[in-house]
Amino acid sequence: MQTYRSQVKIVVDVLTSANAPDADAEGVGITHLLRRANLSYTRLLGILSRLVDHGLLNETNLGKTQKYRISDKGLKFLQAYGEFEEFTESFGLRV
Amino acid sequence: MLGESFLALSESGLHLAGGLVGFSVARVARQGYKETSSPALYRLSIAFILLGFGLTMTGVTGLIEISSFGVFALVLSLTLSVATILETGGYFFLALSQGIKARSSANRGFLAGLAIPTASVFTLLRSLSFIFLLYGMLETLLSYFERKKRVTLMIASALGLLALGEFTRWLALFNSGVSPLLLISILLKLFGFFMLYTPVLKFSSFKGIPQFANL
Repeated sequence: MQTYRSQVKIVVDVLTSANAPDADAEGVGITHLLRRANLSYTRLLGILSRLVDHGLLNETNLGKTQKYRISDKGLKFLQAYGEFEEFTESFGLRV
Repeated sequence: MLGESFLALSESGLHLAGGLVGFSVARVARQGYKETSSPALYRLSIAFILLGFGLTMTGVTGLIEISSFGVFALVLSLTLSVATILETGGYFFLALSQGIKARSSANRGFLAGLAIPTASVFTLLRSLSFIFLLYGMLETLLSYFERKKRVTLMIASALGLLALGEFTRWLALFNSGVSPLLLISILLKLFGFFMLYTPVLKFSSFKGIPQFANL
């Protein structure tokens, strides 16, 4: 049976994709995020805009393209999410 | 007589400790729900809030009962019924969370219904709690076989011990006076609550994060 991702899980997937170890100094591009987070272009743009507004991602403008890098706040969010995920899984449930 | 009052006091103390465990788990689950908006954490927090209130009320009622020698018999009996309903409600939400997860992840089939003995509302609720706990334990055990996480096995064992404790407590209801079953029930539940507290331990120093529930 297919399981759907919750909104927060999508956010986590985008942040995890932006935290790629192979990213350069400015971060990762839209194509990389689209491929890793498995989202449509318009949906991803909306999420990226909100994540930048909340300070979870840092955006760098490179002329016509933008690059995204996870911020310290974003890393803290991922860490906290991981802890709650572990807590939920200890009861045999999924976040 | 001394043995009986000692067991009653121990049982009340155990219920108060269980209430504390319930509120502790509920606090982390509620915080998790606020941060992640996860429906699983929402159901878990409702389950443990109900358990926390139910167990605390049972413990306090037991303590008052011991000291008042039946002066407030009717009030205490009503309070105990409400507490048992809350407790059963908590176990129901715990079983519901497992049921929703089981149906959304795989077609494993719902567990066969178990016979519910009908003696009184109190024994009925106790037997319901036992069934919910048993179901929760089996589903948690299945999750353990899927993910092989030791803490999940610990929670499954905790629910198993609580189920066994409920069952022996239910059996003890048919015996008057001091029953060894009551002592066994108290010990089983004590270990059960202790093991249930394990996932909360690592959250004792957790300060939380800024809320991103509206992301």
